[in-house]
Amino acid sequence: MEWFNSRLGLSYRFLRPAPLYALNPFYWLGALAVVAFVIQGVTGMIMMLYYVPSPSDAYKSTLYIINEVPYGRFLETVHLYTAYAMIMLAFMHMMRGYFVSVHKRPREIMWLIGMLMGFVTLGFGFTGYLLPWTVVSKSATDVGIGMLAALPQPLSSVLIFLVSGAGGDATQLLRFYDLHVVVLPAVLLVLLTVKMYLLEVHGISDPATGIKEEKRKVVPIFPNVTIYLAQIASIFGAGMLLISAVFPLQLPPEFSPQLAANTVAQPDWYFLWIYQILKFSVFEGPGLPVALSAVTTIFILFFILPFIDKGEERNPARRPRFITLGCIFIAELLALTYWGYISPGQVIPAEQALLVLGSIALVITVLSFLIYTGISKHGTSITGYPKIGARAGHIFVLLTIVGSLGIGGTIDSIAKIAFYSPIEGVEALPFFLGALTLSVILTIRIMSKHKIKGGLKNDK
Amino acid sequence: MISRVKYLTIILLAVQVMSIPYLWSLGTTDAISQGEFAIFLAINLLSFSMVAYIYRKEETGEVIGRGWILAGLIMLLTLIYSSIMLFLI
Repeated sequence: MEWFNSRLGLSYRFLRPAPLYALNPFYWLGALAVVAFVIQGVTGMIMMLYYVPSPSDAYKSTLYIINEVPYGRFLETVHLYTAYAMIMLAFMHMMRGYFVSVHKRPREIMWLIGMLMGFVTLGFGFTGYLLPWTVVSKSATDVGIGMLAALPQPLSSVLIFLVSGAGGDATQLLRFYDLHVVVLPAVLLVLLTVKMYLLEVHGISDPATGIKEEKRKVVPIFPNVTIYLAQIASIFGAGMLLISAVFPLQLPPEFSPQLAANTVAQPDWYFLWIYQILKFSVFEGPGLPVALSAVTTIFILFFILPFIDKGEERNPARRPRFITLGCIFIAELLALTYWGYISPGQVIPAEQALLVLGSIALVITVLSFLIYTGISKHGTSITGYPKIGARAGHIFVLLTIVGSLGIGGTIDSIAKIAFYSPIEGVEALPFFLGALTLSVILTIRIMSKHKIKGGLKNDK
Repeated sequence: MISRVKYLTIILLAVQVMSIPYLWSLGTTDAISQGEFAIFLAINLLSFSMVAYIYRKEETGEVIGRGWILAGLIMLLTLIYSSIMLFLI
C-alpha cells in the first residue's frame, strides 16, 4: 500500500474523508451501480469489436460472439446481468435516498443529477435491448417507439426522429447503437462527474435516525474507504459471475416480420410496470396519452421531490405520509411488474386494475397506520436498538420475512381471485392474511416491549 | 490471532495464484468451460474480498468477524467443489 501511496500520492487530502458510519453497503449502492457501469463498459467494448449494427448482421454477429468468440457467451451474459444489476442498484439507491431524505437541503441538485442519471440508465436498457435484433427485442422496441407517437406534437415527431430516424430499420438500429455506445455513456460520465463534485462539496449525508458519537470518527479515502469499496465491489462482481455461470444467456430467435406477427411484444422486466399500466382497458386507444401522462407524472414527481418534500425532518419515524407513499409505490411497482410478466398481451379490465392496485394501497396504508401507531406509543432513541436481545432480533427478522411473504401471498391471492380461479385464491387468502396480521401484531409487540420508537427520542 | 490471519491470507492468495494455470487450461468457446471460468473468477473475487476485509480490520484494529470468515470459507469451498464437479462432467 505504501508503495502505491508514495508513487501516486493517494493519501493526499484532495478527497473528503468519509465518516465511519458510511462503511455500510447501503451507502454504496450508487458506487456499486458505477462498478456495474464500468464492467459493462469493459465487456461492451470487447463486444464492439465483433458486433455489426445492421439489421442483416446484428443477430448473426451476436450469435458469432456467443458461439465463436473466446469467452463470448461469458461476456454477453455478464454484460446483460450487470445491466440488470445497474438498473436495480440505481432504483435501490434512489428509494433509499427517498426514505432517508437525502434530497433535502442542501442536496437538492444532487438529487436532480441522480434522477437524470437514473433516466440515462433506463435509456441504456431501452437502447441496448434492441441491439441483438431478436424478435422479442425488436417487437418490444417498436411498441415503445409507437408510444412516442401518442405524445403531443411537435415533441412526438422530434423524439421519433431522434431515436428512430426516417430510414427504416437500418437507421433505427444505427441510432440505438450510437445512443447506447456513445451518447448515453458520455452523458452519464458528465453527470457522474458533477455528482461526485457535489458529493465532495456536501459530503455524505448523516443517518436520518441519529448517530452515535463514536461513529462520527472519519477515515481517509485511501486506504480505508478504497479497500472497503474494493471489498464490496468484489463481492458484487462475484455475485454477478455466479449468476452468469448458473443462468447463461439464451438468445431468442432472430427478428422477421412473419415471426413478429406471432409474437406478443413484451418489454424487459424494468419496463413491465409501464407496459402493464398501458394494458388497462381504460387506457386503450384514445386513452393512451392519459396513461403516458400518468407515467410521466410519476417520473416528474420523483424528479421534483426536493421541491415537494421541503420540511427539515429527515427521520422516517416522523414522516409517515412520505414513507407510506414510498412503500405503496414499491409494492405497486412490484405487483405491476409481476402482473405484466404473467399476462403478456392481455388487456386488463379497469375494475380488475382498480381492485388489485386499490387493495395493495389499502393493505400498505393499514399496515403503515398500525406500525406508526405502535411507534408513537413507546418512544426511545436509535441508541435503544442494541438493547434488544439477540433472540428478539432474530424473531424480529423472522417476523419481517413472514410479513413479506404475507404481503406477497395476499397480493397473489387477490390477483388469483380477480383473474383466475376464485376458489384457489379464496383458499389461500385467509392463510396469508393471517400470517400478515400475526407478524404485524408480534412486530408491534416486540417494538413495544423493547420500547422502540423507530428512531424517535424518548423524552420521558 | 495475527499469525492465523496471516496464514489465512496466504491461503486465500494461494487459491488465486493456483487458479491462473487452471483457467488457462480451460476451453474458451464451450458453455461449460465458460461457466467454470465464471465460477473461478468469482472464487478469486471472493478470496480478494476476504483478504481486503482482513487487511482493513487489521489496519483499524477492529475485531475480525469470525462468522464472516467462516461463511466466506464455506462459500469458497462450495464453489471450488462445484467447479470440480462441473469439470468432471
